[in-house]
Amino acid sequence: MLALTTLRHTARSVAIRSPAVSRALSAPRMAEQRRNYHENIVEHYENPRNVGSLDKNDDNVGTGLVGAPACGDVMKLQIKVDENGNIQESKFKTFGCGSAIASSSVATEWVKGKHVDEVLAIKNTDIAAHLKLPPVKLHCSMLAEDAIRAAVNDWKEKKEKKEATAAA
Amino acid sequence: MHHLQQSFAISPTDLKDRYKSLMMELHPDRHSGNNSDKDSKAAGATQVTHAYDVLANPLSRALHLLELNGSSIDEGDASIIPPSILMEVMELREQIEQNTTDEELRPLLHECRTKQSELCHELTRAFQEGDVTEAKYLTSCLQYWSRIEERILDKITEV
Repeated sequence: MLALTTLRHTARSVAIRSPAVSRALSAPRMAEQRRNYHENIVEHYENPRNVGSLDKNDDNVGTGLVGAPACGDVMKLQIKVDENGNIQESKFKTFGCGSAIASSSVATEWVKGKHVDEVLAIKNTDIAAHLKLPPVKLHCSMLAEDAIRAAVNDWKEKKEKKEATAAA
Repeated sequence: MHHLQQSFAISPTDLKDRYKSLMMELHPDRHSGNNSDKDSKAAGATQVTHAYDVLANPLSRALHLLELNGSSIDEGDASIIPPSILMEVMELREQIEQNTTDEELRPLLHECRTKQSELCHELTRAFQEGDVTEAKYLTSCLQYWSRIEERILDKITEV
């Protein structure tokens, strides 16, 4: 009777459809939902800026790797920093929804030419506002903010390690 | 509905049998009641079908069990997955994008399915032991590998 009661019970408890469970059953495609999105997202999704990779073993490159377990998205954002701490180049690779791709594309655009300390001030709300992300997609911009911070931290750690070795 | 036992390990044939018997009960032709009775049967059938879908798929079953436990995976739960796993996922996804032929993709699909059955095996144990933290971690991994499988299947049919 176990499966029967479980099935009856599940029929009741999923009557209010849970977003996480529904998402697992059917992944909506960007194309089908496009008309609901602001043109800024669609633009960055269709023509993402700075897609690619930098050499993660380069001392001047900081790599930020973040993920959203709730939806299975993974985002890599890299920065190449000069001796003054200015970001010369930035690349990203995101496997996820259109909003996650657009958020990371915007993030790479915004960090270029700025100082590493300055980019830490970029908030997910700025990215979300720029892309007019719907509330359910705010976490995608959060992912981009986390990726920027992770990339800067990675670069700083490498730099400190290098300086410690030089001093020794 | 007292003392409902929730379990991650289920028998797919058993689930299917139970589904069929419930649907027989709810079938409109079997009841000559009034219209509102028929309507409620139809609504019940829709719910049972959705419940069957949720329980038949391991990932949605795991997510559902976590929700019942009051410990769903939220968007803010970024730290569930350690960097080494994220790296593995990233590298695998890059490899899938670089590979184009069916011959290159099939071993990856096999690898991906093996990984998922291992995760399901571990999930059974985690849910049995009531280890919610471990179950959340394993379900997140399952989420990643199920997305990977989805992508490989997309590419294989594209070729």
